[in-house]
Amino acid sequence: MAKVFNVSSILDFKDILKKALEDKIFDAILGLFWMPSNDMLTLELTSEIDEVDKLEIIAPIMPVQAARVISNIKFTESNLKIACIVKPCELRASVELIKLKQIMPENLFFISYDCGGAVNVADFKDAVNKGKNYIDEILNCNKNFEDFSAKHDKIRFACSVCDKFIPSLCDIRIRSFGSNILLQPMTQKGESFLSGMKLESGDKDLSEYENRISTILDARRNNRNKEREIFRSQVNSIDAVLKELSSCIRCHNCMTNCPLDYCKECIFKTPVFDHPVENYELWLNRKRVVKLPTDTLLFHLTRLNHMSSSCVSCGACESACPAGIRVSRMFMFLGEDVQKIFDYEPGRSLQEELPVATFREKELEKI
Amino acid sequence: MEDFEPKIVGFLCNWCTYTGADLAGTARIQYPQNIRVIRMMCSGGVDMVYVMKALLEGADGILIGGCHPGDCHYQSGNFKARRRVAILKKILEELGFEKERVWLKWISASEGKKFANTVTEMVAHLKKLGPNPLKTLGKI
Repeated sequence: MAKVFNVSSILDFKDILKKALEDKIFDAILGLFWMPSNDMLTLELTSEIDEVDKLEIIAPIMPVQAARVISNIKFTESNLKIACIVKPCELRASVELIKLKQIMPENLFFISYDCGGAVNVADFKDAVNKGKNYIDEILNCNKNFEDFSAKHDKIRFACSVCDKFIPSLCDIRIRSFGSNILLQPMTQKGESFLSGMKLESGDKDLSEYENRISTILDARRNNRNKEREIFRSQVNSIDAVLKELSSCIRCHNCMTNCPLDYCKECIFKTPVFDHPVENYELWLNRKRVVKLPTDTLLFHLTRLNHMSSSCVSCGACESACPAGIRVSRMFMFLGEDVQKIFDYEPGRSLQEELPVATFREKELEKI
Repeated sequence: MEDFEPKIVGFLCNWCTYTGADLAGTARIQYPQNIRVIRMMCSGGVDMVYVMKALLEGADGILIGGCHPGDCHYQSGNFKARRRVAILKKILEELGFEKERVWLKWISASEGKKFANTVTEMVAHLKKLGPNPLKTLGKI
């Protein structure tokens, strides 16, 4: 049993957001809004009530990981009250960034939803131009407790194996599956917000909902286990790793789009790897061949070492890769291995310390 | 492979292992010359990017030396180093690299003998393991 608030459709929730803006409960809303060209959704911060008409709350697209832009706005404390409508993976990344002190959580209100997955921006735009409506498609799937990510051939890989599509550390969870949309307050803040909106509410037995969701969860989990085994069997030697990365063009898009690669002074943005010509001569003597630009394998290994303990499996890296590298597999599966050492799960709790920021006196004694 | 002499890059903490290495020298304790020492202020200051760079450049072994747990000059640097090395080793292992080329050892300023023994042991271990295959690999 849990207390939930009813809305008849997701459109009603937009009216609630409008009212919240009007009543100055929030100063602004951050979410996915239609561009003027009407062919693409983009993250936007708005204080304009009419603009909420262009908002899509449940949208199968993640152009930029929202945690990144929230960090841009909220890296210092401020009074700006923002309601952020984010996907569960964006919520987890935000939790990590809060712990990394890259997001100041004061005056942030997180709304998240049970997520059916997303497609890449190019596929989304292409579909809109061909007259397809992915928004209706995902809403229809949700209505019948069908998994959009399992039905859709253009689904992002990370979504097809996502077993954390239920948000937990938000203020309001939108239970988006089934014929009725249920709003569940997850915090005191969420509770008092929803109570203030005069919605029909009550304690509801959600076991039917949980059962049907767990079917989707099991399928995704199986998929994840299967893909993990495939990846493990394919990428387990130096040669295989080099094969995996062979098309890397060193654009650093994976790093730029990763919500956890936040360092302003990343070593790969500094002149550390602008080697003097003497180094090239040295390599020519020793290795005879120098791949250019240099240090590509090192770049990926460094990213793995520096952020895999906080990887939230959002797949933003892979979506950003123009060279078709299966980056997200590498990070999510190796990330799991690393996180397991410390019994850590990124985004699970605000209290759990980041593995690389803490230690135990008695641990890892056989290193 | 008989005349293979492994090259070890040592990242040694100033307060313990580096001083221990110094002691080995002043006490005239003999140990193999295969180690090239980089003096760090703390093992907690060793960014794994440099450890990996050394490996990819062909170093046969990496020795990270720090103070014994609880003895860190900066309270907890060595504990953090231990976590970073654990992460590095996990990643190397899963990707099929030779994680046994990376050693993390606690050697105090008074343990000149232990330092000499560690290097001797490591050289023997690396001779058995053979040269780092990445040494001649250019397309990385």
